[in-house]
Amino acid sequence: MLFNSLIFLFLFLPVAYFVFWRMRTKNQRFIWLTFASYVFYGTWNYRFCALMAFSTVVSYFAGLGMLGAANPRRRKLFLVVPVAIDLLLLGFFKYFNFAVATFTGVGTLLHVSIHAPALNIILPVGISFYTFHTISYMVDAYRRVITPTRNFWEFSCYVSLFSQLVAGPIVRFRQVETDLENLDHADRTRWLNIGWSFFAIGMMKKVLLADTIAAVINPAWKDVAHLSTLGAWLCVLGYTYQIYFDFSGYSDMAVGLGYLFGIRLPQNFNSPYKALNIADFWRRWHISLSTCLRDYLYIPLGGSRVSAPWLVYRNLLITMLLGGLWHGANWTFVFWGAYHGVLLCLYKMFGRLWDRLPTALQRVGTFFLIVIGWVFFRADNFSAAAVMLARMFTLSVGPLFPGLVGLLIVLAIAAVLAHVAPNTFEINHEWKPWTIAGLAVGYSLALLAIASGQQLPFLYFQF
Amino acid sequence: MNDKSNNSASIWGTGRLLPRLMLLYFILDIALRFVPLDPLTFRAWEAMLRRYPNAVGPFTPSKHYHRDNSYGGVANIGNLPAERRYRTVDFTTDAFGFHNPPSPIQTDSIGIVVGDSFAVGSELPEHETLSAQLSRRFGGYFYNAGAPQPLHLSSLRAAAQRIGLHRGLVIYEFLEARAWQDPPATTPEGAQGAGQRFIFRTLGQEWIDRFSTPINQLHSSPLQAISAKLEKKLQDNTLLPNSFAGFVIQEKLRNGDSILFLPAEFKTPDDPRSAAARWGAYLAWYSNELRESGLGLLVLVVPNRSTIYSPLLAQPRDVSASLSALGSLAQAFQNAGVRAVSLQNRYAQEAATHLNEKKYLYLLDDTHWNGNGTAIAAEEIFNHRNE
Repeated sequence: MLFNSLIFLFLFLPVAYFVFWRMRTKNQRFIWLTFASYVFYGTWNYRFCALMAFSTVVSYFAGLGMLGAANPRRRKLFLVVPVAIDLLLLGFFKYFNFAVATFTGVGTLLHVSIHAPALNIILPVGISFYTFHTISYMVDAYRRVITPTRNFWEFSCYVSLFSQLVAGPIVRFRQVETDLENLDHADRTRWLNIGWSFFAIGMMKKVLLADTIAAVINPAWKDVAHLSTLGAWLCVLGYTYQIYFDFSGYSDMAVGLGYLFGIRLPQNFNSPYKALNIADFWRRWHISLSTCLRDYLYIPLGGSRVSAPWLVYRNLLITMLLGGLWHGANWTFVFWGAYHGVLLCLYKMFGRLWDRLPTALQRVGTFFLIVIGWVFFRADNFSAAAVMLARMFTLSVGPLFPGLVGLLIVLAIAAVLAHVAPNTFEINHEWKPWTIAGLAVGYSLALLAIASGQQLPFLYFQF
Repeated sequence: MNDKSNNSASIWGTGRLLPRLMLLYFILDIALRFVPLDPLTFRAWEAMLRRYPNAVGPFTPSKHYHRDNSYGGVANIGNLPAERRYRTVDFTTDAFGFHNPPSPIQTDSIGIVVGDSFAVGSELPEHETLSAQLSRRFGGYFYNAGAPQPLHLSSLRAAAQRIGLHRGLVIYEFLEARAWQDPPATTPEGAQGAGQRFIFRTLGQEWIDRFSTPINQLHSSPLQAISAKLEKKLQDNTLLPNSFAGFVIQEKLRNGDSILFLPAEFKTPDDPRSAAARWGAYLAWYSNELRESGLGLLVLVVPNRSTIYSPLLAQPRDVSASLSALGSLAQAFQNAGVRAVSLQNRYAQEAATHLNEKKYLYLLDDTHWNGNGTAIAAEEIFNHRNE
């Protein structure tokens, strides 16, 4: 079930909402949200509800165990074992076949025959997200940043909440703990306007911008070798905006839905294409992931507080490599992560020089580097990426792809919104009549587009 | 953490306006379902078909549909306005929901035509359907009992009884593509579920019709149809690329005319002999059952459009697999004692002979046969009536 689907908008959401606000106690609301979220998740594949439930139960008891364990070694055990279980599950479902293919490929290169089984593994939707939810919970509990909850339904509601379950933002327990604790006192009307405002804006970003761009460039990406230079740049620029509006649109919808149920979710995007440098970009892009990587990987490795500069670069590279791998079981994602890792290292080394450049140049330069990185993120393999880069940087003419007029219009709108306009968290959601009329028109168009029957899933559902 | 709380009770608040907008959309969608779908359709099929037919006919009974600018389904699937071949279409149904004139049921019926959409003939002028062509050839009335799927035995018997046909001929139109589906079970209802049979028998035809009529009415969403149409208008390869074009295969005939195919038209059974044997057994059973009711069965094997016209393309496609499958069908029917007439050879000959005159046997923007095709089919049936 997608957010941009009629069944979600006209069946699931109204039922979930009205029943939720009829409930009076906290526990009733936790149970209802958990049930609704499992129904939501089950529409993807009901078998994987058991997997999520297992991960939830393991993490819940890990928290209780840490709560009751005075012995530090025992506390550590309650962290290490469940986290290992979570990572094993994630590793198996997401990376087993990738590992097998890699070993087989290495064997071929070394002329060694390796016969490893490739299993028909279906990747559970959202496993990368809810696994990070549970791991962050256990690590924060171990660090005594949070007090583990004794209320199983509160915890399961946190893990499985449908608004952020399948594509983020990655929410830490401490970020929603207060709202969950006060769920029985939540006022239905308090965040009603802002919730719907976020939801509508996110829907329009996804359906009207991201999907329109995708409709034009996806066929072109299948025939990269025949693109002209201009066509190649339009394809890559198109994807740059597509992934931003797709993902930030989804995050906005998730935040909006959270508001409707009395839960404030964290900001995930802060106008990343306005970034002045690559470090700034990672403070603005997929904030929930980058802060997780920082807090649970980079800092434990030592971060920048290490004895030697090369250790800082090592920590950055490891963090970004794993960050790339998190996005998908493909070496292009790993390379994309490494690419950003190298850029971060270079900024560490030469950042003072970069910061002296004019602001406009910093923005343009940063945006250019990000665009190049997206080539590897989007391409199916290195060959396709290489061909695309070659088309971009060697002069070639040829017919442009169909739908160019529509693409240029949408790209112009997208560019203004991404580089100039305030983002959803910066605008005042108290709309004036004429602006709300515009919002209503845009939302209506999005509803009509959804009604036509062709919906593209969210890009980040592949992870 | 964001906490821009607001509590505006104004009607202009998004918290009130947007849910009301969605409610309006929902009400509009439901309300429009009570409006006839006809203006949104480009052909008769969608306007007339009942998605949940009662125990009788598959189409809305006692209705007339007319369209001056109808065109083929394949051109619509591919969103290719330039490839449309416009034509006038009329589609009339009788009191039972079959494609027959509204005049009182002919009591001098000499036969029934059963089969799929080819037998229905919704793409054709009403005087060019197979049943109309047969009626003229034989000088007696052939009732059109075509439906999305060929009628099961019990439905056919009921149709025969309604038109007072006690002795006569049943023409079973069998499209080549049907061979790669499994035949129905050899039961009178064709293995409809026990639950459905129970409901039909318990409630009776009248109540089934009362339930199925509003369900049919509410099933199609005109709002969705409008949205889809708008989307297709925008995807004109200038504003947006035509994402539908990949669903069809665009080819050129040797005479320069364009012809559109669906990929499924080129499909052949994995095991043609087994498929043919299964159908032979089914139709043999069907024929024996009909004989007990005084009816004779004649199977009309209609080749796929792709089988006939692929060799005549500017870049011909191989049809040996299709020809082999058709050969297997003919052999299987012969072995099972089923009387059959195959149009393969006659169609291939006619298509090649008249290609330069641009006289076709099928529509170019649709999978179905045209008036020339049905005329030849009727002629072949007439010529083989005594075999």
